[in-house]
Amino acid sequence: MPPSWNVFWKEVLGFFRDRRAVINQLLLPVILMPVFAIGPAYLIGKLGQAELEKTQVVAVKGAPEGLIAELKKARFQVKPDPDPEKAVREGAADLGLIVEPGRIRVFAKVSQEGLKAEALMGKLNQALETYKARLVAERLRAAGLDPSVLTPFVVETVDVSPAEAKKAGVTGFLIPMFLLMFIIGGSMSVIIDATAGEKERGTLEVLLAAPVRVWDILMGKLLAALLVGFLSTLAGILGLMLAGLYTVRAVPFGEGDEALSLSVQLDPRALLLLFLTGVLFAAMVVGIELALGVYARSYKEAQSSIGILYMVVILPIALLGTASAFIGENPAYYAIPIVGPALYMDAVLKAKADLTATLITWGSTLFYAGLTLVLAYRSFTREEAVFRN
Amino acid sequence: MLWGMSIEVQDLRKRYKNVEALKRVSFSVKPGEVFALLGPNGAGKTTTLRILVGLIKRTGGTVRVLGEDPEAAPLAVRRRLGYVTGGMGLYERLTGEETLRFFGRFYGFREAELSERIAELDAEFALGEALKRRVEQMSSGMRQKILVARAFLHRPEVLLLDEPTAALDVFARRALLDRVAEERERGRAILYSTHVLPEAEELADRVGFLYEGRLIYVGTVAEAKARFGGPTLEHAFIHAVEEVRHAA
Repeated sequence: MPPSWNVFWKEVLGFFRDRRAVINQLLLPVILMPVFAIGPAYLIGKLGQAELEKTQVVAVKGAPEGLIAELKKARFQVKPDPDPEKAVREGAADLGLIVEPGRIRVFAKVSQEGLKAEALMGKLNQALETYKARLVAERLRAAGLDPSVLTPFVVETVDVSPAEAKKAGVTGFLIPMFLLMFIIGGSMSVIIDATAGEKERGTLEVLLAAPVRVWDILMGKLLAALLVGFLSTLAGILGLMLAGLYTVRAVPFGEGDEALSLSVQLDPRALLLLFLTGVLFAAMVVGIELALGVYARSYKEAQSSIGILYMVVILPIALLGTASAFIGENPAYYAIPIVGPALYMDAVLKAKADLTATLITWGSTLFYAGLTLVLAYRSFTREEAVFRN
Repeated sequence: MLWGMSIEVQDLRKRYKNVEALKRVSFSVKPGEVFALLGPNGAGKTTTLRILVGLIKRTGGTVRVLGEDPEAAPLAVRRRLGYVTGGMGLYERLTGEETLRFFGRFYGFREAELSERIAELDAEFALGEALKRRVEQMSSGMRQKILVARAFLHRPEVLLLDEPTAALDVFARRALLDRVAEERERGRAILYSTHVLPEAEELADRVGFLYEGRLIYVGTVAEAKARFGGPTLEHAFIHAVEEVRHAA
C-alpha cells in the first residue's frame, strides 16, 4: 500500500470509528437541514395563517356603512368606540380606525407586536383598498366616467430566463453557499483531528519519525478530509432535497412556481461542473486548514483559528447572494479566491457558465489550491510549527 | 563513523530564536550499550533525540546515526531506528494489530510479511488481547506492549527512548525496563533519555548529565558517584549541577 494511502486509510478509519464525528458530519445535516429550512417558515406561516383566519376587533369612529360592511366582509368585528386609539392601547381592540374627511387614521401596536401587527395591518389595508376602489368607481360613474379610465394599461412581466435559472429561483444562490459550507464544515473535523489533535496526543511526532515523506502524510490527510467533506456535502444535499420536497407540500405561503422551494433540478452536466468545482474549492480550503491545524498548539486553538477561516469564507459568499447579479458578468471575478467558485456555481445553476468562466474558475482555484498545499507542506516541515507548544 | 559506534554526536548546537538549547554537546553510543541522557525538564534531552531522528535541524556540529546524517538522509536513518516517546503516541481508534500494520507498511512490509511479523511479536511480547482491542480500550500495560512492539517491529539497530516510562504504571514500567536490558544483551545501541535517575542507575552502562543545554559529565554511574559524591546517581547529579552553578 503506498504511504499516502496508508495515511488516508488510517484517517478514514479513525473518522468512521468516532461516533460523534459521524453523527455531526453525516447524520445531522440530513436531519437539521429540513428542520432549519422549513421550521421557521412553517411556524411563521402557520401562525400567520391562523392569526388572519381569526376575527379581530376593530374599534371605529365615524366609519360609513360601506366601510363597516367591507370590514365585516374581511372578518373583522366592528365595534364603534369614541376613542379607538385608547381602545387599542388598553387591549380592548386589535386595531383602531378614525374616519375623517379625506383621511383614515389607523391605530395598531406596530412596534410592540411586530409580525402579528403587520399581518393585521395587511388584512385591514386590503379591506380599506377594496372600499377605496369601490368608492372611486362609484364617484367616477356619478361623474359619467368609466372606472377603467384610471387603468390605461397593465404591466405584465415575462421571465425569459432559461429553465434551469427558473428552477434555481430566488433561492439559487443559497445552493452554492450551502455546498461550500458543507465542504468546509465536513473537512474541518478530520483536519483538526489529523493535525492539532495528533499533536496534542503525541502521535504526529511518532508519525513524522517513521520512514515516510511529509508529502505522503499530507496527501493522505488531504484525501481523507476531501472524502469526508464530500460525504458531508452529500448528506447536506440530501437534507436540502428533503427540505425542498417537504417545503413545497407543507409551507402554506405561495403556490406552484412561487412556492418557497429549495429543490433544484440539475442535469448531469451541471452536476459534474458543480462537483469538479467543489473538489477544487475543497482542496484549496483543506490546504489552508492543514496549515492552520498543524500550526495550532492545541485542538482548541485549531478549532478557533479554523472557525475564523470558516467565517472568512462564508461571509463573502453570503453577501454575494445579493450582489452576484451585478458583478457576475465580469469574468475576472471568477478568479477571486473563494468568491470565484461561489459565483461560478451560481452561474452553473442559472445556465450562465460559459467556457471562459469555467476555465478561469478552475484554473485560478487549482492555482490557489496548489499554493495552499505548498503552505501546508511548509507548515509540516517547519519545526517551529510542528513542535510549537 | 568512529569504530563500532552506532550514534556519534560531536559539538552539537541548537538555537531556538534567542535560546541556546544545546551548547556543543558530544557523546557516542556503541552497539550493546545503554547510554542514559539525564537532565531536568528543559535541559535539551528531547531536542537531542529529535535531531537524531531528523525531526528538527541542528544549528551546528555533526551527528551520525549508523553512519548516516539524519538531516541529510532522514528516511534512511528512520528505517533503522526505533523511537519511543513518553507521550505514548498511539492512535486511540486503531486496534493494536492495526497500529502495527499501519506503521509496518512504512517500513516496506507486505501484508503477508506483516502478519508473520505480528505473530512473532505476539509470541515475543505476549500481545494477546492487545492486538484485537482498540487503543482507547486498553490498559496502560497493554498500550506499553503495543508501543514497544511498534518500536521493535522493523528490528531496529538503534533505539531512542525519550522519557519512555512517563505514562506507565509500575507494572508496565518494570516490564519496559526489563525489555531494555534484554535488548542491550541482543546488541542494540540504546539512547535512554530520562529525568528519573534511579531508572538510569539501574540500566545505564554510561550516563551523560545534560544541564541547560550543556553536557556537564559523561561516564559510568560508578565514576559519577565517585567524582561528584553521594550514595546514588541522583545525589551525584545534584552535586554536579551545584558545581556548575558555583562555577558560574
